[in-house]
Parts: sequence; C-alpha cells; structure tokens
Amino acid sequence: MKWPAHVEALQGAVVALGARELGPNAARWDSSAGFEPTFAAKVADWGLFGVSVPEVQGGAGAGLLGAAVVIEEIAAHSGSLAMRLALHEGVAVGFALGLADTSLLARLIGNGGFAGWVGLGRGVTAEQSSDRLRLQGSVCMAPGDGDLVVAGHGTGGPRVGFVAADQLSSGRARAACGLRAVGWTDVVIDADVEHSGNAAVAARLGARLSVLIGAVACGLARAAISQATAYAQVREQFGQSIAQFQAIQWKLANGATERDAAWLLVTDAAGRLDAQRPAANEAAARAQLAAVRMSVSACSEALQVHGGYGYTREFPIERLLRDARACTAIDRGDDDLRAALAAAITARFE
Amino acid sequence: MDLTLSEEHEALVRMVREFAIREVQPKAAAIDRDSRFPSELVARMGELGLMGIEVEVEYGGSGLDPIAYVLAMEEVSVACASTAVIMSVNNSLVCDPLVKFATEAQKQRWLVPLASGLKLGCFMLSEPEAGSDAAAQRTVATPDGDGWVIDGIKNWITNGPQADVGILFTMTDRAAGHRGITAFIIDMHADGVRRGHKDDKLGIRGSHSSQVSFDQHRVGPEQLLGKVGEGFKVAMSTLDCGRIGIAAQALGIARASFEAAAAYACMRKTFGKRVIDHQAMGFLLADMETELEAARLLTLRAAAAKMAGRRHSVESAMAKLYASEAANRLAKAAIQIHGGNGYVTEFPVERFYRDAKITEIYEGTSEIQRLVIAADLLRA
Ligand SMILES: Cc1cc2nc3c(=O)[nH]c(=O)nc-3n(C[C@H](O)[C@H](O)[C@H](O)COP(=O)(O)OP(=O)(O)OC[C@H]3O[C@@H](n4cnc5c(N)ncnc54)[C@H](O)[C@@H]3O)c2cc1C
Repeated sequence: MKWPAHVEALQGAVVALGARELGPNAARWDSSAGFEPTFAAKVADWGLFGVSVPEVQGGAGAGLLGAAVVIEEIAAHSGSLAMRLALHEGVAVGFALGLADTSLLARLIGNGGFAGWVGLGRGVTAEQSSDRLRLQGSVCMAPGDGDLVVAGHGTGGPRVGFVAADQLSSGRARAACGLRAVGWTDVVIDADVEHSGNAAVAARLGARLSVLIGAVACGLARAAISQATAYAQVREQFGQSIAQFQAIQWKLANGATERDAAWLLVTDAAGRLDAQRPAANEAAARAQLAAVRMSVSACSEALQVHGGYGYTREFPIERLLRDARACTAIDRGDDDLRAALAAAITARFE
Repeated sequence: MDLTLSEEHEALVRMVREFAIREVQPKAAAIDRDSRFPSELVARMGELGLMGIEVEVEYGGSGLDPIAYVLAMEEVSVACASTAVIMSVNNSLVCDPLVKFATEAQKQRWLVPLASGLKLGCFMLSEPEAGSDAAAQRTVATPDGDGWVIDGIKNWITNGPQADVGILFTMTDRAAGHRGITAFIIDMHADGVRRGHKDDKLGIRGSHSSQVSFDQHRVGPEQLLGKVGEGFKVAMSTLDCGRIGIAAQALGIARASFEAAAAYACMRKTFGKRVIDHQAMGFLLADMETELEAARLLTLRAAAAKMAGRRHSVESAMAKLYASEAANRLAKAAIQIHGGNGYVTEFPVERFYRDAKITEIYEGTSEIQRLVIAADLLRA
C-alpha cells in the first residue's frame, strides 16, 4: 500500500531495524518475559517513541496513521514490543498530546521508559477535586511497571490521569500466555495527580489504542501468513509440495484477504482520527474488532499449515498465535466493542 | 492510501442516490416479481451518464474515475441489484475493453452509442462447457476471405435478450490453447446471431440472461477486437475491472441488507424491548457493519489501484471475494433479524438474499478468486 512519503520512509527504516534488531531477539524476549533494562533507551534512540507527535512538538510527525504503519511492521517481528508501543503511543502520548503538555511529551518521547494503560472497568476510583484527581485501586495485570495512564469511575463520571511510575507500587509479575515481554504486573495505585481528562478524553484514548491494537494484530497475521506460505512451498507430502493442495491454498487466500480487509479498516480509522472526522471512534472500534478476530484465526490457520512442527517452538508460528490470542485481552474485548457499536447503530437508526 | 472522497465523488453519490431512491427503489420489488427488464430505467441511466461512467466525454461517457464507478454501482445496487448488473455489464464488460483495445474507428462506431446509453452491450465468454475454465472455448471463428465465420453457443449471457452490441470470444487456433482465443465486436442484430429464451433464475430476475448462438455468422476484419490470439488477455483484463463492479454490486446489496435490518431491529419489539436491545441481535448488527465497511474499503482499494494504472488482479479478486461473501452473510443475517417477515416478499430482504448469491458466481466464482489470490501469494 502507498503511504505519504514520510510514512514510507519511517516504514523503510523499521523494516531494516526489524531484521537487524527485533527478529533475532523476539523469541528470547518472549521466553524471558521482558526486555533488558536498557531496552527502552534503545527504542527512544531508534525514534520509535512519539511517531504520532507533530515535529514541532518533538515527534516524527507521522500521525496515528504513521504509528499504525510502524507498529504493524514491528509486530511482524515482535508482538510484545509492538503492543508496548501501541500502549505508549496510543494512550500515553495521546494523553499528553491532548493536554499539549510539553514536559510530559518530552518524557514520553525521550527516555522515560514505556508507559502503559489501565482502562475503564478495572475497578479504579477517580475522584476529582478542584485541581487534583485522586486515583485509587489495585489492578491485576497492568502492562509493565512504568508510568501509567489510568482511567477510573468517580462521582463525576469517568476521569483519566497520568500516574508516574514512582507513584505506583508494583506487586507480583504475571506469567501470560502471549505478549509475554510486555511484562504483566499487578499494581497498587494510590495517586494524586494534577492533569486529568474526562469521558471524551478516555474515549479518544480508547479509540487510538483500538487502532494500534488492530495494527499489532495485522502485523502478527501478516507474518503468520507469509511464514505459512513459505513453509507450504518447501514441505512435501504425497509427492508434491503441500502448496499444491487447494485445502492449503484456501487457508492462505482467506487469510490474506481477511488480513487486507482488517488492515484497511485499521488505516482508514487511523486517518479518520488524524483528521478528526465524525464517527472516527466507531471506525476504530470496528478496526480492533475485525483485526483481532482475524489475527487469531489467521495465526491459527497458519499454524495448521505447519502441521505438528507448528506446535513446537522450533518455528515462530506458535508465538504469533499466542500473541494474537493475547490481543483479545487488551483493553476492550470483542463484546465491549460490539456493545459500543450496537449502541452507535441504535443511535443512528432509531 | 487515502480513500477520502472528493467533492466530485460526493456530488455523484448525491445524484445517483436520488435517482436510486426516487426512481429505482419503488419499482424494485415488482421488477423482481415480474422478472421485468427495466428498459425505462436503463434509458434513464443512459441520460444520467451512468452507462459509460469511466469512458471519456469525447466518446460519449462521463469521463469519471474507477472510484466514481464503484460509488454509482453501490447506490444503484442498494435499490435494485438487477438494474445494477445491467449497468455494470455495459460499463465494465463492454465499454471497458473497447476503451482499452478498440481502434479509433471502432470506438466511434461502437463505443460512442454504448457509453451514451443509446445502445446496450453484452459480454459473451461463457459457454455450456466453459465457465470457470474459460480457455476451453468451443465457439470457433474460421477465416473466410478477409474476415471470419463464427459458429458456437454462448451461455448465461447477461443482457443477451436485449443487447445491440456484444464482445465475443472465440477459438481461432485450438492448438494454441488460450493463446488461440480471439475477441470480436458483434452486431447482435445481424444475420446468424440467435438469442435463446431468457433464463429463469433465483435472483437478479430483472436482469435477463440467455444463450446466444452463432450459426455461420460472418464478421469483417473491422470487427476484430485487439489482435488475433489476444482474446484471452482481453477477457482477463476486462474481468479484472469487471470484478470491481461486481464487488460494488455486492457492497450495495450488503448495505441494503444492513440498513433494512438495523431499521427493523430498532422498530420491532419482543419481550418488552427492541430487537436491537437483545445482545445477540445488537452484536450481530455490529458485526454486519464491520464487514460492510471492510467490503467497502477493499472495493475502493481495487478501484484506486486501477486508477493508479497498476495491475490489480489480486486487489480485484480480494474485493470481489470478500464483498460477495459478506453480501451473502449480511443478507442471510438480515432475514434472521426480520424473523418471519424476512421470509415473505412484503419485505425486501428475501430479495437481497436471492440477489446476493449471484455475486459469488459470475465473473469468476469465489473459488476462482481464491485461486488468483493463492497463486499470487505463492509467486511472491
Ligand atoms: C445470472 C448469470 C449471469 C451470467 N452472465 C454472464 C455473462 O454476461 N457473460 C459470460 O460470459 N458469462 C456469464 N455468466 C457465466 C458465469 O460467469 C459462470 O457461470 C461462472 O464463471 C462459473 O462457470 P460455470 O457455471 O460453468 O461453473 P463451473 O466452472 O462448472 O464450476 C462449477 C463449480 O466448480 C468450481 N470450480 C471450477 N473450477 C475449479 C477449480 N479449478 N478449483 C476449485 N473449484 C473449481 C466452481 O467454483 C463452481 O463452484 C453468468 C452466469 C449467471 C448464472
């Protein structure tokens, strides 16, 4: 697909980076359930933080579309890193952009580490006083132990605030099935923060994250389909390459078509959010819904093409499937998304 | 890729939507019930410039781009898929190959009246024994003086009973296989061209298809389309474009299904609440709209690739495959959401269901699209 020149350039850089730095390390990050402590600094050096931030504010100026393209590319190598970036760029950077908070932006684009997100419905209470927001709760499986953007419900409705890592106490690390290197950790939140946002802010951050989760899912699926295609051409059974069987061809063709469909939904939603077009949040919800479902099924079918080998850790396909499955558990699940979409349809047709 | 519509596209959508809602939609149920070919709507589409959308103005067309074609096809298909396929055959299966392969003199003689809607075209590739395997042509063109004499039978030819002009594929050199196929432009009113009875069909009943048989039909050299032996290339490149039109037709049927179902689910009450407020129904509608939007984007992507002058066989195949299967799922779901009312002809969704099925069959079945997509993946 053709992108604006600066997005293409970024994508090209990430392709090279992926082959050199990400692909060779992805399996290790997965099995050790984390990145090395200095890794976030490298990611900052590579310019992967702040892709969606305008250049005048210190970012790459590629919008959410650019972030989606970069994250999709990264996911083809490491789902965990891609999801880390989706949370960081989608939510934390989005929050700072909304506030036009330059020092927060500088922290997020520089070497402040990966920031994560605790969305609505995780049991956090949020009480807004005149100038401060108090966030309290204990959360199971927050992404990592860095800074967090936290959403919670309070008497005045939903609020979101930025909680720095030193205001959090982290509990036990959770061993997850997929996206393991994200570093899932229980945290206790009891913080008093200055900057906060309302329900509309929470919805916008959720939509940004939807798009980028969709990008992660699409990158995983692309890698899975291409690995299955390559494997089908070298594996021989019944005296011919298994790629000659229509049963195999159909899996590949269906996977590629569904993947392209989902990727178009993702990039279209990114463009709508960048241009602040109406109903962009709905487009984002559809993108996440379609992309995550597609990814689980494409990775599963791609594993099937690998036969028994697909089930072993000799091939990366099992990790792709675990990562795709984990995408279904990040932020809004399938049913939350469909409930939101059904409400939007009702509002249009009643 | 930016798929935002231009002002010109928006204006076209407004114009076609108004025509579809005011003039087409009120007649759609009766057209289907009576299997009536809607000649007056075909004439109106000619007046509105919808019969040669992408043909340059100097050749009688509207001079618009492939995205405009998709948008117009979608709007007409929402109202009546029969009327839409009459339009799509003329646009993409007849005008399109003439634009690409006809000489200047041929364009003046054949393209101008077709694109301006004065004449109607048909595309004659399929035969009783050659459908998916289109290269297995049995219709033969035998050299005769400076021209050819044609014998054979074509099957399921959309617009066959009404067409004035046809694009015909014949075998001129059997030993050469698909490189022995040659295309001609046919005057459908000439001697030696006979149309069979219209087919009685499950859906798109207002669009008539029939056999067309050729018995010692003589054509002159001025009727040769492209070069001798180039017919298969003409057919395949035409279908690459035609599939965008069928994807758009499917998109229209899918949208009609979704809109009817959403409106019904918001109105009908069961167990004290609206149908849409039952989770199983509301979630189903959310899935339907997601598939609808995905079908739209794949179709627009194929049109954008055509517009950029790139080869777009795979984009077209994906668009047609996805949109046609989505249309079938959505039409089926729309019936389910309507309950018993979905099964009776008083409501339009049973028509959408019957009409949707054809989009998985013509211009290359879903299986053929999967073969195209898989072959491309395995080549890469
Ligand atoms: C209403 C209508 C209008 C039409 N209009 C036109 C027209 O205007 N012009 C025209 O030329 N044709 C037209 N057609 C013909 C249409 O394009 C063919 O019906 C279609 O291409 C399928 O060919 P077939 O019916 O011979 O099926 P077959 O080729 O006999 O196929 C039968 C089944 O086998 C599957 N199949 C075939 N080969 C393979 C394979 N290699 N791998 C896997 N599966 C395979 C097919 O997908 C299908 O499911 C029309 C048909 C209909 C019904």
